[in-house]
Amino acid sequence: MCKRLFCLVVIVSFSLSLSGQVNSDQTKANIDPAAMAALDKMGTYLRTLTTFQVEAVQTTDDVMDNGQAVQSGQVVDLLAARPNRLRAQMKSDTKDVFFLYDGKNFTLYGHLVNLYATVPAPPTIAELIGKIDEKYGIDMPLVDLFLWGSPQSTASQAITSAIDIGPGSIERTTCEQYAFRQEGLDWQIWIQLGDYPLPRKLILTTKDDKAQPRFSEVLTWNLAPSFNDEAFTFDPPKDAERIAIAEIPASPNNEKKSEQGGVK
Amino acid sequence: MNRSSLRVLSVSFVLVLSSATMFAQYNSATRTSVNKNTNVNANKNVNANVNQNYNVNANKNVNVNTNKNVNVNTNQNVNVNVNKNVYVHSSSSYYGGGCCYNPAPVAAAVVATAIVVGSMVNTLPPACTVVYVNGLTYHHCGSSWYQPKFVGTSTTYVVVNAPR
Repeated sequence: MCKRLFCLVVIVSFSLSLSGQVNSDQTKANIDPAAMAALDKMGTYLRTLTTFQVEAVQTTDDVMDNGQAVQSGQVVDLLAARPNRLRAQMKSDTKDVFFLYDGKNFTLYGHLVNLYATVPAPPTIAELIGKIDEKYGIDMPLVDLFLWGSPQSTASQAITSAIDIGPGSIERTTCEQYAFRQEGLDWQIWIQLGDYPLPRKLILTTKDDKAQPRFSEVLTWNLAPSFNDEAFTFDPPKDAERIAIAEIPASPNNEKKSEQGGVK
Repeated sequence: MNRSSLRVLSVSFVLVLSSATMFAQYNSATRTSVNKNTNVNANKNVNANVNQNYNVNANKNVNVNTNKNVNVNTNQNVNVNVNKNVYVHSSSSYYGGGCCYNPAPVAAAVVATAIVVGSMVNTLPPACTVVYVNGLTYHHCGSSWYQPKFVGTSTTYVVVNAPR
């Protein structure tokens, strides 16, 4: 009796370990190590940049209640001087919003409405990204550029498929195109070849919505921007009025509510 | 703003405007970051005003507002008991330098009394006074106080208790 039970346990545990093995092998088979290495190289390189200016021409699909996706566009112009200064403008047909951070204060300025809000800020860009997201529900524009290659990046663990598609030009610069998959998201990236492995184009396809809405951006880089300290400090224009930023209520069921309001 | 409340507001608004306005409601979950699961909770509410009586081109006037479920006591039902076509114009004219691109809960502004604190509106009722308290702007309208706020990167008026 005892022996049989032991046998059963052995068989079950063996088959369990076998199936686990198969799954991870399948995942491994879908992942081209060279594609992962290219991503790591890009992340490591991005972490070495202290000052940069980048313009991103973005399009985003929004899905209407009837399931139809419609596209909107915006241009982001971002100047960063790590670790503690950042300026970004997000401009679209309906908005012209500035983010200003000088290491002490964070200002959000709506140019079209001439309203601004200034709040005390943490000492680094990395901390600022977390704070404005958690406290105010505000996404830092081009947040990925600050996350690749950092401990906060979740992409490399999440990837279930990585393929090297081959060469592709973006704005007449030769890049290598890669396709990645992770849960609920297919994405492609074009990484510049040569000494400056910069991301030049991204396409994200959200898979857990039936309409599979897309976000895309093309990035133009300036690695030697000229600027002065005033670029990061907000000087309110005439007649600009100061307002507050709505905080996310810190109720325990906030997350639950958020989930309900999310993916349809 | 959660979806159910948006629905409530939209329904009330449709009653107000009858067939003059077409609503396109967005519940977008389009991801914009690989490393962060951003925008998963974004409810985008877009009202395309197709006001055929006035201006066919008004459907270019698409007001996009991204809410990350910030700041909302909006599960209260804003009671709109209106039988006039009050806000046909206002919802399609945000570009004059006024506040706010978020036209969804405009209907609340119609209610003269008992505005629920925490409600969000996009146009103020008539006859408001601007009051500055601690350097921040408020609008005092009748017995109610409105505070313009950033909700995400959009601006809207939030009904608040009397400041000071």
